[in-house]
This record gives sequence, C-alpha cells and structure tokens, in this order.
Amino acid sequence: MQYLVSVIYDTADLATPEEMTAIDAFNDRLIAEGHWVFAGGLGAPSSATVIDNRGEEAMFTDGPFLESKEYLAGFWIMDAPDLDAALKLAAEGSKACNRKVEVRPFL
Amino acid sequence: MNVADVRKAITRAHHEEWARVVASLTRRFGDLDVAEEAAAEAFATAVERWPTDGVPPNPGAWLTTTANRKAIDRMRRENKRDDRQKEAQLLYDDDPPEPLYAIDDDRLRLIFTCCHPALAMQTRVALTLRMVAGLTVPEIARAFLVQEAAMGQRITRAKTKIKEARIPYRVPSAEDSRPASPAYSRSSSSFSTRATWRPGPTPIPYVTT
Repeated sequence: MQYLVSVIYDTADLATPEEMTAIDAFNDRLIAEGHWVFAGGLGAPSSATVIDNRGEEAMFTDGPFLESKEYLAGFWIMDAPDLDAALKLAAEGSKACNRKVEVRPFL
Repeated sequence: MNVADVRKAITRAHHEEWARVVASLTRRFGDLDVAEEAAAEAFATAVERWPTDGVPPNPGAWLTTTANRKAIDRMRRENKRDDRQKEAQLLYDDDPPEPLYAIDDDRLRLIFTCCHPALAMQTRVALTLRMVAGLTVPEIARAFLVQEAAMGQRITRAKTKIKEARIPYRVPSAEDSRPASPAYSRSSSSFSTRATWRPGPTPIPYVTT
C-alpha cells in the first residue's frame, strides 16, 4: 500500500541546513526499512505552469492552478502496510522537515 | 410462539447480536460497508422468516451465518468478472479469529476502527453508533440534529476513507503512537451494551489482521 505524504508550507523559504540533515537521515531510514518509494522538493508555486489540452489547442497558463496561502512544498511516496504505519512515518517526516504534512492513500 | 414473542426475540437479537455480527463480518471480509449491509439483510431475513419458521435456538449463530451468505452473494455479484480465486478464498477461509488474549472480542476492534483518530470526532461517534450500537442513520441524524442525507453521507465517507486509506481493523497496542482519543470512551458510553471490557494490567497485543 502506497501513501502520498505532502509537505505543506506557507512561504517559499527552502529548508535550512539543519532541516536538510534531518530530512536526509529520515530518508535513509525509510530506505533501510523498506518504506521508501520516492521523494522530492518542489520549486515555488510561482514557477508552475498549468496546461489544459482538453480542447483543440493546448493552453498554457503561468502560475499555479490554485492560489492559496499554503501550498505543496514537497512530498514523499511511502510504502506502508496500513494507515497507522503511514501516520507514524508521516509524523516523523513532519518532525524531520519541520513542516506540516498530509497523508493520502493511492488507490 | 406468538407474533409479539417473535418480535421481542428479534429486538433482543438486534440488541445483543448486531455488533457481533458486524464485527465478525468485518474481520472476514475486511469491508465495513459489506459487513453493515449484510448484517442489515440478515436481520431483515429474520423478520421475514422467524414468524413462520420459529426463532432459531441460537439466534446469534443463525444471524451470523445468514449475514455471511448475504455478504458472499454480494461479493460474488461484484466479482463476477474478476478473480475467482479470491472468491474461493472467501468461501473457505474459516480461520478462527486471532486471539486477543485478555479481550477476545471482534467488537472491540470494531470500536477502535470506528474511533480511529484519522476520522473527525463527530464522524467517530456517528460511525460507532451505526456499526457498533446498531442505530439507524435517521436515529443518528436526529441525535446530531442534522439532515438524514447529510448523516448518511458522512457515514459513507467515513467507510470509504477506512477502506481507501486502509485504517486497520485491530486494537492498538500500548506502544502505538495514536494520540489519546476521548471518542473511544465518548461513543462507548452513549450506547447500551451488556458487554463489559476490563483491560487488565497486561498490555494489549498488537494484532494485525
């Protein structure tokens, strides 16, 4: 069972060196314990482009699809047997990156 | 046995057996929705049959068996195209419940699943009233002073989340990091049950289903 753990943040500040160290240590643990699938940090929402190619011609729009106070700063995809295990890992991830996280199951 | 006695027997069976039937089906089929629907169908069958066939000597066993059949029928209908193997497994998987040591009761697992901290407090209470206490959606809606449709939706959403996010069906262990949840005691005090649980000093084992 895979879960998307989204990192939610409200400024474009990058992780501090201390946070990076904690994130690296947490990632190493995820890999060692077999929970790791993928993870990554994202550029600021202002660097996003929205594409809509449902019509005749692809439309490119500068900026994120949703203007919001909080946004996705990065994410993990984790393998966990059930939600309890995923919540436990996500809580540690939140501590490591020093930001709020959201857990969502893949279907 | 006259009609009034049969009606009384059905009401008593509902009080005493609803949660046990739902809990045992949830363990077997891993799906609250299937368990709830099959349990409701089993009671509806009892209402139809008991007045003519008589009340079975062990109403609980009769209801569980009937509900199991209803659930298998539903799974069969839904799985018609795919995987026969899974169906066969359902039919023959009669493993006894995993021992819970001090507390050997599927109903306790059901309560912990319904009161999982990943669900909103009101949802936990509503879901517990439905799944464990056997209240109907209109009854729960009245208690919460909300529209029936809204309550039905909330309960359906909760069941979907439990399934999709895979909220486990087990009693948490002492080391579990779940935040303390006042809903466990809140919802269990809001319905009547004869069962008394006395978790002793032994830590509850971590049981995975």
